[in-house]
Amino acid sequence: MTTGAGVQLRALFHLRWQMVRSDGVRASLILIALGIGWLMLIVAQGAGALDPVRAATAVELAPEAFLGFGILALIAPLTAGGGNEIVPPDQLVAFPIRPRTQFLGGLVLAPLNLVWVLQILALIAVTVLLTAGGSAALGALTTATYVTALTALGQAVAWGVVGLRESHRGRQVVASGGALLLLGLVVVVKAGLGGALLDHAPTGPVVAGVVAGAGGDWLRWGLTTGVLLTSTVALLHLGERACGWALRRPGDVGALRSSRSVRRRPARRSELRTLIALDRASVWRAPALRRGALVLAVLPGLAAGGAQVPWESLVVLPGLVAAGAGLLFGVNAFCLDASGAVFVASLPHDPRLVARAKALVLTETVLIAAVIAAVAGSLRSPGRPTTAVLVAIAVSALTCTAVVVARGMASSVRRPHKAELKGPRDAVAPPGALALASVHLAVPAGLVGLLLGGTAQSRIWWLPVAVAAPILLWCWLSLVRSFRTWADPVARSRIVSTVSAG
Amino acid sequence: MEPVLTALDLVVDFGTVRAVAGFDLSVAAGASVALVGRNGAGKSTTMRVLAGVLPATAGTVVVAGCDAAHDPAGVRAAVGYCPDVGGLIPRATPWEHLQLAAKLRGMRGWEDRARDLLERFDLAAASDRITAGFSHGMGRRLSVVLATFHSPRLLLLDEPFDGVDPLGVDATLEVVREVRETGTAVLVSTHLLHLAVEVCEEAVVLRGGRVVGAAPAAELTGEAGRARYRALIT
Repeated sequence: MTTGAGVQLRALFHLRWQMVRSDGVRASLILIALGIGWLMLIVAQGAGALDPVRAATAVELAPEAFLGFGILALIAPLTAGGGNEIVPPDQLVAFPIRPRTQFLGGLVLAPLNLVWVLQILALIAVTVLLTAGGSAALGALTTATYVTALTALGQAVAWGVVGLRESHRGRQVVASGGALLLLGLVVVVKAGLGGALLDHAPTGPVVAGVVAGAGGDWLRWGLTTGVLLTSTVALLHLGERACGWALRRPGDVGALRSSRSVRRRPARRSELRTLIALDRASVWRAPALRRGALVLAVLPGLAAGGAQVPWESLVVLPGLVAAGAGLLFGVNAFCLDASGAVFVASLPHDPRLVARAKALVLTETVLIAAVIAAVAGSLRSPGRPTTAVLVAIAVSALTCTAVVVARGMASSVRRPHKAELKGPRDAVAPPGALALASVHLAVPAGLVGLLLGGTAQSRIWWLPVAVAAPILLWCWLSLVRSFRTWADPVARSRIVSTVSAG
Repeated sequence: MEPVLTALDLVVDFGTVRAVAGFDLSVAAGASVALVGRNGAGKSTTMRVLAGVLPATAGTVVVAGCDAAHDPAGVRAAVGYCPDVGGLIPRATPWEHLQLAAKLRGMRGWEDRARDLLERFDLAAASDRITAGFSHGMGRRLSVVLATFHSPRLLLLDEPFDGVDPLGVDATLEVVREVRETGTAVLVSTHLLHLAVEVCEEAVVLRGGRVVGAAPAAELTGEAGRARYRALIT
């Protein structure tokens, strides 16, 4: 006999909350939730006070804003292999968890994503502007229904893709579909059809529905909201079915891949290189990390290229990408060894080598993602950049990488988690810890990007270097502190015990 | 002759919990000792400390003349350790584990020894397979290979027979016999009393993190031996 999905969901969230042992982390999570709520209020109030010209522009771009959220809602669960999980599935094998519970869990956890929150803030602002002078509540209801429907659609599609990828034919279909989509996007962008396409964004009727709610056009508002509501119910049902289907698929290509043979490589010349090679393998052989790294390397650059981002704005891009790349494994770097951490710890070596290898692999992963995004983004940037802007972009990539590596390694020694990273949905930390970590990485990296973006306006080429120097020094000192913590036998044994827990 | 392992008044605390409470043991070269006891008796924690993986809260551990508190790397160089669970890097292959061990231990010309061990433990065909897909028994066997690979002075095997098929058990028993002949001291922690008796000549019983009895392993066999063992662990 099994209980309903609602009861199971409550039980799982209760269990997850109990598993947060630190009062500090609990307090931080509550503060973040309150902070987001406060931000929403501020944005809602601030949007109403926007000057008429900017407000008009925002209203004009409303369909694009709704479309942007829709694209994110589709991509985010795809990159997470079907959505986040409240509790890792290997810890729940003895419990009769329903697919519906799993699907709804992913849906509820969708907001634990900084980009999702930022997009919601943008939609709140747009909704306030669209409903100026009328009933904001009705417009907000339409927007909220749209957000729920698209989030459910994203989860449903992601579970469908997960199911398809369980067979070889399915993997080929998904890969071909992805390649075609990418090719189509490149053709649209190269042909300069992006603007025309956006003008015909399918989100136009949704925006019209929001406006109708404020203007007293009950029929139109009711029709739009009703369709969205019906779609939400249908998508929830579809997503639950897709989730159940994906989890029942017997193909098990994932398991085959996790036990595949790999090409034997010659022994490396030094201890450090041997450790680096193993860490690289641990990253690229983990389905979740491989997929995340590829998405981070391709999508932001493609988006920036498609939007023809000005050179000055590109300075901010490496910070955002670096923060995302850091979340792949940087905030819990020692989990790469998992239970093998005990084996490594039992070998005679300078322990700092292990930490150094992890930091170097993290640095190259983050830097490569940031550089690819910056280069791809710059391909269609209008005009010619000044030397100061070019230097600022390069310094931004370097400095944001340093910030992410420093903060990631600090988090790795302070708050380790066990993470086997076997499955496509496995993450390096529990959802709440990842949400905290995303703030810890994105805020400083984003601020550094903005700061360097400001220096790029000055046309003094050495100014970004001068501004970055103290930040790099701070990063270095932070990294040294983390290495020192790792070198301490008591702290190291705590980390090893945590990441290798059986 | 100086013992390979000397542990004196070993104490390990995890916060307010005392996992090991004054453990004393001495193992001579070529000797084999079984650590037996119930779950939570402190066997695995003791093994971790002896392997140089976990620092002791108090007490002394000397392995092959190296004090674990002052020369942990020296201890780790002399020890071969098979942990109780896992102990494998999930996305590395057995060969990559051996490469890492050889590099960090400064071993040269290790490949033939590695191939031989993988063959004997029926892992040769899986030597380039990612260990995440290994069965529990395969993982255990690989952990024993990694522990014995460098012919250590002290071999620490924590539950080496857990979930291992009879052929794997035989391979482990044979390797233990071989290394003992070369002077390696062996410490085996296990729940399986009959295998402990087979592989070791001495048995040390742990309860509540301290040694509560020691006897020749053979004396723990038979009805009387089992009754004695039960009396010690309860």
